[in-house]
Amino acid sequence: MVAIPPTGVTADEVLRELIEVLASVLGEEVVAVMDVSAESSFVRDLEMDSIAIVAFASEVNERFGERVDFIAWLRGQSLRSLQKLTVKDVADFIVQGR
Amino acid sequence: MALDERFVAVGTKKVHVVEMRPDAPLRPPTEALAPSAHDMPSAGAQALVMLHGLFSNLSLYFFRIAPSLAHTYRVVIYDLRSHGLSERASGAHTLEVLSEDLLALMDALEIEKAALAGHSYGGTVALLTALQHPEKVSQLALIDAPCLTEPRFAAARLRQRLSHGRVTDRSVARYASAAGLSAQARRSPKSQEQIRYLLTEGRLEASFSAGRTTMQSLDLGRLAMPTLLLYGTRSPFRATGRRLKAAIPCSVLELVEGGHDFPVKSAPQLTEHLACFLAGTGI
Repeated sequence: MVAIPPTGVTADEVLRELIEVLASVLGEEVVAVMDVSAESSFVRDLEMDSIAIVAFASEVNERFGERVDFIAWLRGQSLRSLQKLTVKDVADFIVQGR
Repeated sequence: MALDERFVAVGTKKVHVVEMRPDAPLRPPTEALAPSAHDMPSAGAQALVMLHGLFSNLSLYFFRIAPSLAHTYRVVIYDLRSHGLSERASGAHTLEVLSEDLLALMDALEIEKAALAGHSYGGTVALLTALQHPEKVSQLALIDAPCLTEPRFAAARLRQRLSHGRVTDRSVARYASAAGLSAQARRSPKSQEQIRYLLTEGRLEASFSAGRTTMQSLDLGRLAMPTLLLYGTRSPFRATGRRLKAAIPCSVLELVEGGHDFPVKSAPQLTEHLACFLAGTGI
């Protein structure tokens, strides 16, 4: 498990870690060919289904859950927002929420 | 709230499980890590086990339902066999088989007694479990669950839906629609493949027929635990809710705006109904 980034962590560092999580959920070879960026949406661009997003959210919570309440943040999203969620949305929450 | 996602061995198969439970509040990183009263959270929390319906998975509850209930309860959500990330299992997916999985999972998680909440076929599994093992179930919430005694589950109707025994693209589409899958899920090749698998290897038609026989033989009047019947105003199973209300002594019937898929579209309302029922206050 990767340690929680120290105080002052940048959005880039969080983004890098989120892409690591995506690689563990989707497979490194999949992420390599998908050109994952901050703007990638989980559903439309990465073609993740609901259960893949569950696995991603659980791992993000494992890594960042002691500092931010990621699951509560997800709960507050509408169905439409969840479907449009991007990697940057998650990174912004983690950086700003700490 | 604490979250734990893992695979649990149930029989010879791996089951994908997520637990959410009350936990110590978040605190600043500078605070000492010594134990405090806040850190004694979930050991005594009542367990709530939630079952999804056919062709769905635990994500039905993960995002917008389980986190709210986990402030009070130890919430266990899991993928039924051959669904989500749980291992596939060829052979019938009868109510009995899925009920045995549920009981084995509760044993593995050391849950002696739980409130059960199930949507659609998962609700029927919960109902059978409550009837056959009342000592394991404290409260029961049936969310738009069929009884399998409805005409749509009669053998002739099932054969018709399956294009007379052959699993075709059309029969897959019919089952996807009957299960209330979203348009996006209905178009997904992965969903279509899963439905095809359950109709063939999972012997779904035979499982429905067996379940129909089982449910016809059981006396719903014996059900003694508090039971919430939550049905959609536009659901094809709304009449089932009324029939169950008449048959189950300690039941209450509540309607939520929507069709069979209202747990997806009206998650906050569903959560509120469940929370009030579990707390014993009614809505």
